[in-house]
Amino acid sequence: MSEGIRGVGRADISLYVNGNEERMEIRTNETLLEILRDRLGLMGTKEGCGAGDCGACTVLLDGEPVKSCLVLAIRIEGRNVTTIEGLSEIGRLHPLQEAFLRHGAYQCGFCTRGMIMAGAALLRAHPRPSREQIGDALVGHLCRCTGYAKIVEAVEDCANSTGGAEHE
Amino acid sequence: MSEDVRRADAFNVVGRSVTSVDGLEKVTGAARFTADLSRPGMLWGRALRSPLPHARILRIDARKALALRGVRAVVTGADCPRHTFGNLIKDQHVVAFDKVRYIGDEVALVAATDPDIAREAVDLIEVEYEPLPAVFDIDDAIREGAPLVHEAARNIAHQISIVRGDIAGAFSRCHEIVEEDFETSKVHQAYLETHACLADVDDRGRVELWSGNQSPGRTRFQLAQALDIPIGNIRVHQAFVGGGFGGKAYQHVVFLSVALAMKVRRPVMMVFDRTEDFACTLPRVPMRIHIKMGCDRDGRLLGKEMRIVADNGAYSVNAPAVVDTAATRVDSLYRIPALRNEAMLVYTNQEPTGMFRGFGNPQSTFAVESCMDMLAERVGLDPVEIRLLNGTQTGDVTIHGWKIRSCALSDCIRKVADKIGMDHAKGAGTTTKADKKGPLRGVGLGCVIHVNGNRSVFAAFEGSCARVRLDESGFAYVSSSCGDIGQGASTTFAQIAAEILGLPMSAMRVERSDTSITGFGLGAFASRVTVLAGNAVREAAEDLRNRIVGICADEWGVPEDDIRLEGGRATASATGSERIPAEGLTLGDVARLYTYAHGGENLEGKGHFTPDDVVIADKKTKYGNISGTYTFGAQGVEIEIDPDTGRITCKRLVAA
Repeated sequence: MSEGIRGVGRADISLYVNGNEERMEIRTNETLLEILRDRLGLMGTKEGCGAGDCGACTVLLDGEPVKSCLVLAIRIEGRNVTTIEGLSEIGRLHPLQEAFLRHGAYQCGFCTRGMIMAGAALLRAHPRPSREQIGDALVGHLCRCTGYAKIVEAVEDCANSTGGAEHE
Repeated sequence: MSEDVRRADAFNVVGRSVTSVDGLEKVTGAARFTADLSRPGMLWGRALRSPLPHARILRIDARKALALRGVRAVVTGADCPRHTFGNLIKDQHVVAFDKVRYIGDEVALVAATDPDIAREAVDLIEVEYEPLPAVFDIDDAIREGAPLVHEAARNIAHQISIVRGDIAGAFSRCHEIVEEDFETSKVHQAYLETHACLADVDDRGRVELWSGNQSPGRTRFQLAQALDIPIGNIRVHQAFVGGGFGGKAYQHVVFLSVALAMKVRRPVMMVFDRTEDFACTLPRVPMRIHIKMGCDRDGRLLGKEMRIVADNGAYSVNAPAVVDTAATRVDSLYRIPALRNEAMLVYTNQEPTGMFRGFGNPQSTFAVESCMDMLAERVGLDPVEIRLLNGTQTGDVTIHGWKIRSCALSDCIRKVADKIGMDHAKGAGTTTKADKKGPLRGVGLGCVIHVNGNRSVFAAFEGSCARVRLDESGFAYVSSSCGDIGQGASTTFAQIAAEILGLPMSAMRVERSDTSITGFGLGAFASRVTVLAGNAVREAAEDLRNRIVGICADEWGVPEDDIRLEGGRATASATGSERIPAEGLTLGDVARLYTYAHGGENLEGKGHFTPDDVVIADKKTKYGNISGTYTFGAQGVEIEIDPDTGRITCKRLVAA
């Protein structure tokens, strides 16, 4: 594919996505978001702006939330990526996904996966976050439907209902 | 709805907090939005957009683009029908034909095997333009001798003038008159999912497309008109919609991707990037509003005069109707005996504007509500009192002929005033300086009236249809002609049907809109879905319920009114007798009996709903009851203003 691209080199990379080693040849200008969606078919991660403004493409890189549209794939050789597809095990949702369902913390659902990934990372680092910490963790995430209140409540409720247990 | 409006606690499912029927897909990532879809052999489309606001296209040379490996087709205006099309005014082309009229106008389209190749190919297309003088401002655009955006005598897309009552006499009797100018801006809907469409065309010329569209039925209609496709050859699927807010009722991306797919005979995916989505879709129509309102000594409104000049941008998709709404809707919020409203929609070489939550209503409501506060101050009332004094009441026929059959505006105002701390017993002082250095604080409230559907939108009909199908495993499938656009309509439909069928929510499935299956729907806009589509679902579920009851009554030899549907089962009072199983029958059992006895046919109920006593508002006077019900509301806010920076922070917001 993409023979026509002007002056763009190619590179082999290998990285771990949701625990699986993935080896592929990519263009050097491909973003992590592009390889997740276009090469690995992991469509749960969304592109809302392509410029790091909206947070819909958030995934975890070695456990830390990153905006995958801003991460060049060739720069994350050998590292661990977790997407929304890797957050829940088959038949068992992550406690934060359960909390989002309980609170109806979504409407159209387009920003939801980014919110959940950022929230899950927060809960892992701070099992009992304050409202302020929740606000800080979600600050780069835009939602145009809900007005955010239920999203913050879902994160808060998740921390309370799991008693601050480790969120993996 | 029948006269005996049931209390919320009389329902088992409706009014309860339930998990939405598509919630799981939304939290796991399984929900498929348009850009997540693919088809074998799919190409990627991209538009070359005009860098000039107004220019004649002299020459387009796409040879270099076509020579690029991976490029499959280039489409220009010459590949599309010559005729113009449009929702209200026929002033659009699918791709610019002879002229470009705003920065972003589509000049050519590319289909390639990869989005990056499409992007590169677009840059390789050479276009020779003859720049023309452009107009960007509504004042400049209506001046004599202004450059003309379209081939018409003036840059006026639409005009309306409405006079009711003795307006001159009304103002002569006023004790206080305020006269002000307001301006609203071109705010964009900024839904998180940009416009996208996947289009496919088969060898017979049949078009199939997927998009996050608010009105699949009307889009099909417009597409047939724009590209001369027999309407029966078009099938529109509604993918999950990543927010619309009015901005996805019209999607030019649909026309573009279909034009490309027709040329290459392969599936084409087009996804607008955020920059082109901001620059080339339809943000809110900006308006300049001159308004004069007067009241008597007691604060009772006597007259209103309003002149609106609105920026249509280069093409007028829905903007004429938006302007009509701005010129009328707010007038039914209060009792006003006389008025004169004039509105003018002006072409400029700016991006086209269109519908966005409220459809023109927020613009003029902003002006009217601001004037209400000013009038209140002049006559010594507080903002709450003047609204209670003038507010529309149940039973009113408003100045535009709207029949208000139920209205709780006064209750809304009182509740909001109480919660936000504007209870007029406590005084009208709404702005205070907390201390010398601290921020300024203020509270205020505003009110709104809106429609639930509008008979005037589509000439042929207003209404909705639905089906509820019970398969042999006991799942109920709801399909509505007005699909879910992310606002939760699917769950609302499931709750309504589950309530009537006595089924648990876990047995409910809601199908996504597909014009070849779900009937002709007008779509999700004008706050119409729950009232119109919801009632159609109710009709369909009741029809299915009657059929289930009839089957059980026949099977068991009992009268129909002895059958109860509850907890997913049908039972009779004589349950446990010889012919009737002790536990009754599950609805799956009933459906199986029917399906096996009818060649596999599913047990199905059909319903449709058309609001009664509504009319198409007179084209000139806009008089007439356009909606079956009207929504009223009030909101109060408490804000802080930093006196040094002017920064406003909303501290509290209450709504009723």
